[in-house]
Amino acid sequence: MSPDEPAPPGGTAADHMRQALAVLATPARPQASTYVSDLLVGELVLLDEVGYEPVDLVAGAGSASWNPQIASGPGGSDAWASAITSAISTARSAIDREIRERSADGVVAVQLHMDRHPANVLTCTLLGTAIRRRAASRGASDHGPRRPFGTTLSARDFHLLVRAGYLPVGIVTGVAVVAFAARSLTQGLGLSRENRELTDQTAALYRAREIAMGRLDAEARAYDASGVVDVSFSEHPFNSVLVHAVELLAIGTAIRRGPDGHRPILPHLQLALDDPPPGVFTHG
Amino acid sequence: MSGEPGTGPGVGDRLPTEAPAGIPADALHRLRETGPGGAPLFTSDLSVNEFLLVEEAGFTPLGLVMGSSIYQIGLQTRRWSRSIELDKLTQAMYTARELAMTRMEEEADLLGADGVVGVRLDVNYYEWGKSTAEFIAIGTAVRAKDGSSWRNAEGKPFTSDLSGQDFWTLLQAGYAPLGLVLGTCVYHVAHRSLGSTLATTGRATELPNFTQALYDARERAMTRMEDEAQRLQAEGVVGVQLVEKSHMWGSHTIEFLAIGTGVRSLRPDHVVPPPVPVVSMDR
Repeated sequence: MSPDEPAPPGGTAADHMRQALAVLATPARPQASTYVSDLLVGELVLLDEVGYEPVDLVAGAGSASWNPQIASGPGGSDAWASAITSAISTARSAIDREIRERSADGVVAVQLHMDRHPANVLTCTLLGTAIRRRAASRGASDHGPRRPFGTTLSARDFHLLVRAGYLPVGIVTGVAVVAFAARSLTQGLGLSRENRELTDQTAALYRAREIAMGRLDAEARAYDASGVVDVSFSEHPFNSVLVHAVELLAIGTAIRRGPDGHRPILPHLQLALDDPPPGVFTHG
Repeated sequence: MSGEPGTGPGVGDRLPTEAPAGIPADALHRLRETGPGGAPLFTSDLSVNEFLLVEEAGFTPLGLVMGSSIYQIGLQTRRWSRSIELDKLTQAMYTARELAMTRMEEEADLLGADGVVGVRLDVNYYEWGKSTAEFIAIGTAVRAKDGSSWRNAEGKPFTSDLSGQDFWTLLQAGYAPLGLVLGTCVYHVAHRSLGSTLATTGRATELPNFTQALYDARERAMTRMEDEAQRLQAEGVVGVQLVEKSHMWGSHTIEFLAIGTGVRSLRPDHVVPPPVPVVSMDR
């Protein structure tokens, strides 16, 4: 029944029921304390368990553009890498702002989306659920404004980390680009039919991977972190007549050990009595 | 979260100034900052579960270590109607992985690690390289908190492709990983002759030459893996995976890769507290 439909005049029990249903069907006015989150019920409980509550969905975006065709020239791949880095930084600053505006403490389950558009435009979006430490569980050490934290970890992983005595401090990334002039590569390959390591290419790509990891480390140091967990790598190849290039991105969550150090979580061995889903002979 | 990347302090001086062959100078720089003498900061691709279990098992993660090799895989002529191992390709696939793994172990050495857990071996292909592939080995270097040595029979840090969960369980049960062992075999499976194809059309029958070829190739890969395990004086190999892949060679040339973790006993009995049977209610 549509909430706009006027209840028919009269005072029968059915009319009262209709009116009551109409009230229920009207969307409730959002209150200041209403939160929006994409967390599952179990995740809300786990957050609550370590003293946090969800605040709102927050997002941040940044964009960048560069000229890939000159990437094999001097400084070209660095300009490329720093363009991507700056897009991510802009998105991070924007999501930080949203967190502060909602007076939240941080954001969990952040997803990074990198969307590529024609004319070599990259947009980078961060989306996650802002959370706040419940007033009741704020300790004496929690006073004063702190830098909002961010993490790619789920609410479940956040729960586990906090229980074990760690706190995420921020999302850290490392970007590097390796670019070859297209001609130099085909020359290098030649007509050889032998097994051999391509030492120049190995060195270039290996070096770029190390640089990406080094930049991730440097960001973690800037956060004064104890370490970085859940690092994942992605790469994006770029091929044109002039340039063959690979973008490398490492992303992870920097964490800091609390004053008490690692708290044992003492896991137990379990034997699940669930049968695995039937998987034999399913390939036809 | 708005912090700009800064350059880290603390350059260790206990590490060699020259990188071992094949490892880029940037790796040395990165490992020096986090390694012995540097400001400790670990980086790891372990999940939170794995990270906490590795800590729980008495190890501290030290950092991500990696090795890479871009390898041109040579050409070898195959005979249409003959099933045969393509030893040149086997050699290429094995050598390239060994190069990547050795470099990863050297990086772990630079960090003063006792071992590397969660090792992944990947093969990447790029559009610009026909018959070339990038072989990568990547894992998390760890060190025992109690200072005991966990190096293997070859004096190297142990390596293992076991997850953090399996690593914890293995240690609980009184075993220690020794090293990642692998064996590979690239095999050309003969095409069937026109005559035999016609003769068996529409009939349900075993194709003995296919069976034999695949059987033989798998056996060779597994035997080579076992040989590696024996060199490490392993008691056994756990978590073996048998991967079949045609890479860039078309359907009749297949690589069989057997890969697992060689283990040794830490104590004579392998008794664990009896696991609690559970039935999950969310499936």
